Amino acid sequence: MITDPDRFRQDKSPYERPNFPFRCGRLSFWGKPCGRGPSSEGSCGGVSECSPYFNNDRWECRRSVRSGGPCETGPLPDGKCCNQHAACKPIPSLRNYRARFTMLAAALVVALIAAFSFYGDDARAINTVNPGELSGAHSKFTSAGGCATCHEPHDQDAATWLKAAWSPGTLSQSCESCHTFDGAATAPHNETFKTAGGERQTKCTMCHTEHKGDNTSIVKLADQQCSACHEKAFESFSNGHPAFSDTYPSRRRTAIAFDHTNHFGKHFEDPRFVDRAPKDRCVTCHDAGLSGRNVPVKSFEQTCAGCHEDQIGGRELVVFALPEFEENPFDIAAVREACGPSVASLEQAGEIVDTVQERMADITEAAALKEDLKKLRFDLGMGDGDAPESDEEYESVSLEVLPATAIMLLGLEDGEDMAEYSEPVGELVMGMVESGGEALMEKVDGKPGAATLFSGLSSDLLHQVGCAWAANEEYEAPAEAVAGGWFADALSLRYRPVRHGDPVAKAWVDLAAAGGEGVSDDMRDTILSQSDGPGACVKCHSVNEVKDKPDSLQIAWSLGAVSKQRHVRYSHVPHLNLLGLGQACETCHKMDENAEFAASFKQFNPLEFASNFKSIDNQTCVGCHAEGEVRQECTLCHEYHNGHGFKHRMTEAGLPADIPSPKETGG
Amino acid sequence: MAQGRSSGAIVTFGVLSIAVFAAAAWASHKAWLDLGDPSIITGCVLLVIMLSLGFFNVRKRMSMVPLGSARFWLAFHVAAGLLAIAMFWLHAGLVWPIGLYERVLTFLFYLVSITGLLGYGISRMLPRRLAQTEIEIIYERIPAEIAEIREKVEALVFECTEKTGSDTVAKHYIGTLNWFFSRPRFWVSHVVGGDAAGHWLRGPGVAARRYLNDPEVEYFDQVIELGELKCLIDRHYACQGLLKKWLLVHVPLSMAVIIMAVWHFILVNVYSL
Repeated sequence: MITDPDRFRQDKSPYERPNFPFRCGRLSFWGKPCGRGPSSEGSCGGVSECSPYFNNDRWECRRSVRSGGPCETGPLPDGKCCNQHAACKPIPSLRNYRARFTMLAAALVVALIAAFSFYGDDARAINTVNPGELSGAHSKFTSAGGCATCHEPHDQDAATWLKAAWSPGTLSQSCESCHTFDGAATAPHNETFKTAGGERQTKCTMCHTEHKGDNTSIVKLADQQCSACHEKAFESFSNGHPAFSDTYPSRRRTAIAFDHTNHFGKHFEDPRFVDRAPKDRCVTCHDAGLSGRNVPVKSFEQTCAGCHEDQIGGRELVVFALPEFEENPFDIAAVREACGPSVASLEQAGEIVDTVQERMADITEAAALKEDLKKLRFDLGMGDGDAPESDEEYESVSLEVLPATAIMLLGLEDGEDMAEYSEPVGELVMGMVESGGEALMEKVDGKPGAATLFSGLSSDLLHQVGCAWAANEEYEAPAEAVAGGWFADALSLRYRPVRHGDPVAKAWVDLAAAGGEGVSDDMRDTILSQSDGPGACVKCHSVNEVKDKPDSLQIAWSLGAVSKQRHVRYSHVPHLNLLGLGQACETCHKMDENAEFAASFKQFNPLEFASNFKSIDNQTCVGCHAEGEVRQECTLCHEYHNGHGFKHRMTEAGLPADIPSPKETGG
Repeated sequence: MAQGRSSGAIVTFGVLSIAVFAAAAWASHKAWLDLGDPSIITGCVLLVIMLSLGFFNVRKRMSMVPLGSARFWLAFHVAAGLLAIAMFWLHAGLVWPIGLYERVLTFLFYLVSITGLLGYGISRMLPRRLAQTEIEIIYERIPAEIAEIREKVEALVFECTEKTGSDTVAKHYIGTLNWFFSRPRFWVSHVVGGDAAGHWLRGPGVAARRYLNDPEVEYFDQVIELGELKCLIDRHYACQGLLKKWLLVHVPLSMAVIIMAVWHFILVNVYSL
């Protein structure tokens, strides 16, 4: 017992082996354990008190001292201990239990991992592979393909799957199957930079993390991380950000040459127009409801038309004019056949009938009478063969010269050589007579806007005009043309714009601006002339040079200025919400009365621009966007990607079931 | 002296752990600044720490191999365990992650950590309390000791009945004391450091004493003296049992966490890197 100081003596104390897997079962019932404990495999080893020993033909009792030493009766004749007792059931030791629990836990975990490794394949499946819910957009577009939509090894065989653990990942390539950029996906900012960091390859996962939940942003980019490439590090926008350029934000010329200074300082102050002056200042013309990066200008009808609408319709374009001829270039017989008797020839026929009646009195003039009848039949369109010879000298009804557009249509070098233009003009007019508009359409085939250049031009009109001209007569319109559109006067074919934004007028202006084969400087000057013709368009719409096409120009028809600041983003919405409408715009946009605004529209380089407004500097923004005030992180104003878009197949896959795909609708 | 060496080892490994954590945090922050994936660094460090923590149990089974003293390994295990908790938070970035698998892993990791901290706490606290009993006893022998005390008590009761001719002590033993001597009692009180067993013995246990004559009192006092000895043995049983049994939770959970962490490591390499 514990009170015995000598209790650990070998003959008193059993040797404890706590690392054995089993212990005596009697102990579990708090009874006295037998001297000989269980075996290592868990069977009871204490059913007898001694281990009899066969010595000199006798069995000796070998009972331990602590159990009382050899017993008096000794072993049985067959060598069994006489003190036998019922075997107990050994119980596992604590160490054994621990090992069992550990193995059980390991087996359970392995089994659960195996069971749920690939159980289900969508973003919300309960499996051990799924590290969390996808964001809303991605979970929708990957529902069909499952994990393999982004993770290529997922659907591979076991060997390939395991091999992927040691292979470079392909996640970024998977992103490119849906996302597109204006540049290499793995290039910094999808651009090619010549700076030191420009050659670095990026991965989508550098800034984007998925599987963080349905409503979680997948973008994780802190200001400090921008310094991974941008060597010019600074603390924050309000502290150290490089100054905005001197031309910010009006680096590029606006599409419309609207001189704010001139209008607000001069025209709107003029007593004649003061009632038309914008009452709400900026938002009278700028649509704050559609504001985004820009606050778009309202339509022409809502803004400029109030004062300038009448200046659109009066700008006629002379597309073709019948020039002067030395000799009649037309085949009169063919013209008569195609056109029938003209008004003049019918009048002439009437005169001949009168003459024939007079000559019938004197039959002796039979020969002359025969000639008159032949001419009469011809004039009435009844004759066949060549036209009767006439003693009259040909006198061209027109003394006009070919307009520049006609020279372009006929492909002539200039319109002054009568010998050069007579035949092509004759062919064109005869074409007008025989096939109407087709003759003109053939002339512009292949040119920009060809389908629109003669849009709305009636073949009937052309036929009538052609017949008149071919008959060396002036065309007499049934009524004076007062509305816009195609019309002809005596010797010319003209177009008058119907309204602002007239497509035909725009097509001719575009053709002249684009230049190219057949478009002469004279034609360009004629059409783009601000003082006459449709060139009035370019009085307001800026004309810009085209990159890599030195002889080509482009008209800025759309209102919004095309910004080249791809990595800068700005929204007027929160600012307008905060500052309010009206004069609040002028908190940031302050007019510069000294700017040579108009001069910058007299040349074609859109980057040479003197804005009506002073440039905005950092401090204007820092007034609010500063430490402890409004947000000022880099990504608030800077867009990382360049031209991010989606592939069509992805947008199609993402359409809800009840909306037909573009393919189905033919779109 | 041994206590001092143990504390010194813990301090040493504690400082090393802090250094490892600082280095890992610095490297992961640098990777983050460089648009890399900081969780790769922290994850690899964490996995190595977990495996080395698991090696503590293996080392116990390989006591024949000179792999350093148990004190050294315990100090390492404690310091590395705390480092693992810190590294886990650095790695996950969250106290509670998003994915189901990661949540199970995190839950088990927290269980392992809590059981480990509790285990370390009781391994620091209970031995001191046991030392105050001024007896030493091997845990595996406690049932035998209790059986032996019970035999001795019963022998005293028999002798008392035979010698004094009174069965008062015997009746008291059968009615009251037998419950106490049959097996260890007042486990919770012993574990939390209470003296419910002593109170019981001094209350219901000695309640019959006033009804005994002098010869009976002599025997009865010997029985109570053995009862007080059993109280001490019961304390050893409760405390030593707790010192051993908490591992029944900690070790299997550790194994589960390590397996899950290895699978997590494989998945990350297959799917993400």
